[in-house]
Amino acid sequence: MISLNNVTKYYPMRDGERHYVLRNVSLDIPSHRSIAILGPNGAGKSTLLRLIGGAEAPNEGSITTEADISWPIGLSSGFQSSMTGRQNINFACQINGLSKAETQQVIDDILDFSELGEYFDMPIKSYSSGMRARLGFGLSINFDFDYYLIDELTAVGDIIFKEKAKKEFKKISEKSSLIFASHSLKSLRESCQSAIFLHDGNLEYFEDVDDGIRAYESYIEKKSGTAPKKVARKAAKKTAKKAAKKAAKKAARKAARKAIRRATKKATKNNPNNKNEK
Amino acid sequence: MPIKIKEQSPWKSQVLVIKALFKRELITRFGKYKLGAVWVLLDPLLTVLFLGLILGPLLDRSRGEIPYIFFLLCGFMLLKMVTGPLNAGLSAVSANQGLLVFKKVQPIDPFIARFLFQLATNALALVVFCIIAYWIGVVMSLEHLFKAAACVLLSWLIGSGLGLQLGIVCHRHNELEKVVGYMQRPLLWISCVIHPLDGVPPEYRVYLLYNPLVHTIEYMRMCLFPSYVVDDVNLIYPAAWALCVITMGLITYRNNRHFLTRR
Repeated sequence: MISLNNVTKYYPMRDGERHYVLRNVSLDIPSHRSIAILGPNGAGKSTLLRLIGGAEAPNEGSITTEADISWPIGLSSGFQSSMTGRQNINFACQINGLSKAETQQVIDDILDFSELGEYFDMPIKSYSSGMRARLGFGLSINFDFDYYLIDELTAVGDIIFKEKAKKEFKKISEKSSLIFASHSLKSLRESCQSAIFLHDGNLEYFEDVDDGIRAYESYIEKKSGTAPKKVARKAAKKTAKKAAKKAAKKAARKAARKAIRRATKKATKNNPNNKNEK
Repeated sequence: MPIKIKEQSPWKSQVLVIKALFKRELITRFGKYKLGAVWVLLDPLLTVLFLGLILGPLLDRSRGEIPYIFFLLCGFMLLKMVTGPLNAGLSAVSANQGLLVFKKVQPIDPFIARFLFQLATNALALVVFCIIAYWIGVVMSLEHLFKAAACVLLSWLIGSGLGLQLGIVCHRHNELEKVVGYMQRPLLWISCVIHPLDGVPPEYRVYLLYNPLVHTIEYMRMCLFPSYVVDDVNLIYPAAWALCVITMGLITYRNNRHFLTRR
């Protein structure tokens, strides 16, 4: 379990005002459930993951846990851009106190998973965002965490990586949990059971991920109730009406046909039946 | 099979992080040069040679029995002990931003690693130069070796304190980085690097003595070369300076810790 106790996080803005990401939030994140983080752009999904992962500290309150939590695994995660992929992996292994043999094992596995080939010995700054994602994710799955914090990771990958990631997510959710921030509702539905909806400095927890997504969608609808959308809705209503009319007509015709058929059947049935019974 | 990360004591974990960051400095500092770590020696040597060739004939009025080059080298290396960590601190956070996602890497760690890196490389260069001087036949005494080491350490501590503080402040206000660059220019002239303290008229000497570097540099020469004598310098004053700047640096760090982890 991860407990957020009266957590407040803000960023000072240019004009001296504070932009609150979280405002006095308390929440217990249960374990052994994969959790989707939902929220509009700039709501602070990445910040929430960074707070949970300990990369940033809250301004007030505390986040307590007994669990092993990964660092936020995202596009810019944990890499120094002038070092090569191998050097970065060595760094991550070294700070976590891995032995040389273990480090070699990790490197072999990452080479296999990320399919970086020669790029593994090139500086990270020459990588595409997909390659970074592959390296970062490949590194994190070599460590055994209770929670894996995923920040928009699959958004940049190609189909091969997405398939691989999906498989790994499944493997992870067997023993550990994902905390997964993404805008792809489909992949959130696929790999998460519960959801946290982050908006206006608040966190809402939903036991069922579909409830969370519904709340998120209705929030977005409310927020973006602008003119073009209304027009679109009107148009949609019109077409819906037309379709309904058509369907009604069809149904009526069908019903009529059925009624005729039934009537004729009855008529043909009645005559012989009556005779037989008698 | 995924590897379970072992729980480590805070101290062990801290050492691991500093070690890894130190290695990262080694890689990025020397990795791009063909001569690699040789530049640790070449860099100060070339600077001092050029300076010595230009200034030597102008300023060389017998300084005991020290050749002017070694007189200069001694001052210049201690100056580097201050400016090295100072400049390394200026970009410590921005150059390691990507690595700060790891919970174990706190923003002060890149500072510490960079300062230690400066200490290691510059001290190595200094030792090599001393050996060369001894080998050439410059009269040196090893009697006050500890005091000489104290001079080096104090200079380094002052540089580190300033580097920590200015590094954080410049990270907040980018313009200051330029100012810090200009402020360092006169250091070569007001720190007794290229001339001895007693070459300065007594009425101005008082002002120069406010500079802690004057104390460490002149004291160091006094320790290494028995024929060199200076009055008025001590180690208490630079030690007080070191204490002050490090305390201020740590306070600045504490006040800005949320800002530093921010992306």
